[in-house]
Amino acid sequence: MNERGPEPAPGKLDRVLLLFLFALFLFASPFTTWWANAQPPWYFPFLIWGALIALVAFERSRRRSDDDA
Amino acid sequence: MTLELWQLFGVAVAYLAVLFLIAWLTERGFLPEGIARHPLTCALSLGVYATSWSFYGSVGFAHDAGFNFLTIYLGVTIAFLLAPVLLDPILRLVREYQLTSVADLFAFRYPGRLTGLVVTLFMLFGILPYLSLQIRALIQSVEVLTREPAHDFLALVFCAMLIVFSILFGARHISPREKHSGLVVAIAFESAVKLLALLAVGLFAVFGVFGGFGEMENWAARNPEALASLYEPITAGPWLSLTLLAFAAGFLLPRQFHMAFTENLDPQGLRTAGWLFPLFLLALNLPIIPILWARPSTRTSSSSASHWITRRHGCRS
Repeated sequence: MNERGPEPAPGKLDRVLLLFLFALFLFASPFTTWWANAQPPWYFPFLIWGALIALVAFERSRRRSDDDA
Repeated sequence: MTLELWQLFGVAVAYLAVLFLIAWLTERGFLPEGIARHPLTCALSLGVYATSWSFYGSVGFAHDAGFNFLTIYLGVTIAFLLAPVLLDPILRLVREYQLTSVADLFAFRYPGRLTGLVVTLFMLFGILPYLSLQIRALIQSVEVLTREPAHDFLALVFCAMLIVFSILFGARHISPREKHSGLVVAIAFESAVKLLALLAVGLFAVFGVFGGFGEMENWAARNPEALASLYEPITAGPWLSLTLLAFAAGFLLPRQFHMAFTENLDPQGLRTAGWLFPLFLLALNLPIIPILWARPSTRTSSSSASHWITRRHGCRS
């Protein structure tokens, strides 16, 4: 990283894109329609939203430790 | 409990004075620089995304369109998830070429005499109704809390105070290289207050109205139509288009662009905000459903649903 900001790390972008696809699967795919029709408890959307955030946090910590190494 | 107008005005002025003080202390170096550069401060400063819409709109929107209200925040979550490939490159451009706004960015990417002007005009015309709604929401809050019609002069005073704050802590320095750490910390503080206030109303809804989480679940089991009214609009409503809209708004709204890129003090902060800011948004929205269900008999119209949060605040103060 420099003063201008973090440099791109092409080798690590695949993890970000996988997370993006997973987010689309959760919130913008037929799976969304499926869980909406199943009408789980009211907190279900918050649970999968929270799980996605946890995965992003994990990916960022991996990225940071990779950068430090 | 009904509040007098002078009491409300006093509280508002005191709150703004606290914001002024925090910004001033930060700019004068009385607060440690680490606070302004902390990733939590960066994430909370992005909470400027959550305006009065989050307080009023979400409950009313959830009443009318079920879980579609979440799209406003899910789209932003997806945008920040892409921080390393979407936000970091913009941040590098902004830092290297000293760009300060979306108009600057477009003018840089598409050089031309009219580019910046056209983008600025588009943003101006797009943002004016939005600003008007914010001011209207504030005045309506005053009317709800005082139960008296509020004078237009109050809106004018409110605007004047905001202009003074913006000039003192935002527009005073004209160098794009200069960061306004006072503004960042003050907005971060404001976001924390918003979150705590909404969580407090949510806890009141769960424990004060229902008597606990178990009782709320029992209520939901006895009223399956309440759950159905949340989920059914997902398949029938504008879920995808709203998510896409929020995705773009997450970093292209003028205030978002300003806090994420122009005022960015540490690039690492933006990366951490990739999950911390969505977590803030999640926590902000968690109380919405309990609040919606805790409304008296859940039979009020969406308009009054929007103001129920204010009423809860008013009752508790």
